[in-house]
Amino acid sequence: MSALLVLTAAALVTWALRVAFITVVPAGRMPARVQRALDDVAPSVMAAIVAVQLAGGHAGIGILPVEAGAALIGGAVAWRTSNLGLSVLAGVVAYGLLGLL
Amino acid sequence: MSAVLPVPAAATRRLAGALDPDGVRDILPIVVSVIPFAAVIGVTIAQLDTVPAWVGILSGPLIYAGTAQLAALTLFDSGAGVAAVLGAVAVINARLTMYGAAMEPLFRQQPAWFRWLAPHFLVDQTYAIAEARPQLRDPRRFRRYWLTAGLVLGVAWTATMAAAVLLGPVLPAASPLDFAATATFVGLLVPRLRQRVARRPALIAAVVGLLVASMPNGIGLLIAAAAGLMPALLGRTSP
Repeated sequence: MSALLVLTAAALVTWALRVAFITVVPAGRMPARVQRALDDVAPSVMAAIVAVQLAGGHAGIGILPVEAGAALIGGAVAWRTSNLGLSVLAGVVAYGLLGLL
Repeated sequence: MSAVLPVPAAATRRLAGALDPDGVRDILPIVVSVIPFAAVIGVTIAQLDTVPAWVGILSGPLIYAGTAQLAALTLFDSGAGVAAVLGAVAVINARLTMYGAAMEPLFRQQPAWFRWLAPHFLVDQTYAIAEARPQLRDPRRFRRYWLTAGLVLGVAWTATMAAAVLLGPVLPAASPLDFAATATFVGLLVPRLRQRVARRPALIAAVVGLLVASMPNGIGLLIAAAAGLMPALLGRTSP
């Protein structure tokens, strides 16, 4: 299948997720258990993405030290400011500086 | 020349008049924050073997969700099957259902075209800025605000990606920008951890993610994210 078709399908999957509880099924009708799980999706997915990226494809518990240090610094800025731009900037600058060590 | 100049000036005024000032004000910092990530995706697109650059750029406004777009592009290029690509996109973007559920009251009084098409602009950032403005309960006000924020973000996102695709060949192979994608998710995750209920799923997903990170084609990510949902799906209440 061509890249255009697969990426268009990916766009349709994403759109379906967006309209699912806005237009297709009223949000208030969802079972409580599912609503609880939906509440956990954001921290689960984001933590999983960060962990997989920090692991750098290594098997077992192991992380890339420079990336982990930069993530800690970016995370500290995010915790203090809740400013996405600042935390990304801090993480990227820290990554550049730690890479020089 | 003087007869030509008023046309773009008038068009600019009309465009400025159509945009919601609060929407522009709220989305501009977001635009700045996503530029590094859009550039990373643009550079990635320039390095793909099996995805034409124009298709990669087009996938930006089509998917309108950076991580899922990046995952779809790189998984497809690595030879992953269609099911793996779509599965990864679905898991990564599953959080959008939660945002949709939370925003449903704002869409309830809207015309059908808006309820079906405008959710396309639903991402972490647009949800966060709209949710923080209670005055958007007015349907016309919300419609203008939402379309302004979504369109400005989409245009900036696509333009940055396209520029990075063009500049990709002259950019160094490794740069601090390589970390921007990870830093973006750290920046999105960490403020959520102020809420105690978010810590357990995040911790479970992170530990499982470290354990299964070596699995190919985003399968480790699927497993780790699903692991984070298990306590809620199994009916146990969060502490």
